Amino acid sequence: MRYADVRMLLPSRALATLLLLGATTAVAEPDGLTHLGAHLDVGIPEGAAAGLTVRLLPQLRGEVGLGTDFAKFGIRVAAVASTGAHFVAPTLSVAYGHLFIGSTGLLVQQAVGTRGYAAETFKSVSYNYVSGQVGLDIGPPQRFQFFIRAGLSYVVAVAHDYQRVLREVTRDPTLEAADPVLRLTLPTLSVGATVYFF
Amino acid sequence: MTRSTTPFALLLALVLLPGCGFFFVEAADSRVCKTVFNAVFAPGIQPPQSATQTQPFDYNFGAELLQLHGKGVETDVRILGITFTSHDQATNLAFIDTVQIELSAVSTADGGVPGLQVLRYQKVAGADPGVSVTLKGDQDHDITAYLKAGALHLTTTVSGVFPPQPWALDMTTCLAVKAHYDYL
Repeated sequence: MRYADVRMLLPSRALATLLLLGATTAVAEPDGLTHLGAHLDVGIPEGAAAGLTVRLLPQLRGEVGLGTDFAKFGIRVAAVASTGAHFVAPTLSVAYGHLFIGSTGLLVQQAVGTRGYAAETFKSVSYNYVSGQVGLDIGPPQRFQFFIRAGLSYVVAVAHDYQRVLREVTRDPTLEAADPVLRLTLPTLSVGATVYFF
Repeated sequence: MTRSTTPFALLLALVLLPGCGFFFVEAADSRVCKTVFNAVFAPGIQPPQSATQTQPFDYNFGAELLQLHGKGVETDVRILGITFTSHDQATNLAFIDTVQIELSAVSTADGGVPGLQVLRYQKVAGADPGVSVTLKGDQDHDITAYLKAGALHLTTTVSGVFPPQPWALDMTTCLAVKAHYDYL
């Protein structure tokens, strides 16, 4: 096998090795498994989030925390199922989050820009999201684990104070409008770490 | 009378957000209303007798709507209703027997779309509507095709025994708007 062929195989072999480790390196001492920890992660659409992690079972943990898209704060709760307390464990997670009313934020600003109708409309926005993700936990499960997750989010955003924006943009004071709702699906990606204390 | 605004372009522009790797995005506003003030109608003929008046008016949504063509955006626009209110807030509109609102035909390169009656009001015998009359919209019809020409051309036909002096209405038109765009 040529060197180039070997080099191409390395990533897939490394992944296979990690998965094999996860499948075979179960925690030897379930009774000693920690149950309470803290997590920190960054991602889309959550932005950055930090909070508490409760390991209910070796295969199931819950997360609750605060998040921010760097313009407004929100809350997030999640349930994470895994194959168990392994050094490498595939995960399946579901999360719900709400970001309170605030200014545009980096995520939306990147999408709508800083000028124009859309940017004006999104000056005051809040949103809810639900996301489903698959991922990997990597690290000794008793104390510290990195995680990476990717999936799909369904976002429902409300642009607040739209009537005022509409009147300003159109210079037509006769207009009345309900706040518009924006629904969208988008890929999600988050990376982070969990530290267990007890 | 002509009124030029771009209220829905603002909403629909949201579905054209650049830089987002969405699978789909949908923007909806459940209620957007515009009021045309002081639409003056002619006095009734003497001696008082039933008559009919027809008055067209344009509701211009602006050229931005035209930009939606060819970009895969599906739009859906429904008329929620039109409310006629006596401009002086005092004249009782009980003299109005019927009102019909028709969307004018629009010519397009494909041949166009025919006129469409979207609202109709019939006074209930003995009822007193007071200073306002509300016509609820026929929400079975998506009127997007009538907007793609850039403006909504409405023709109002009013019948009744009109007062002997000119009278005026404030007309509030309400629409529901939705725009959907699939990325895949």
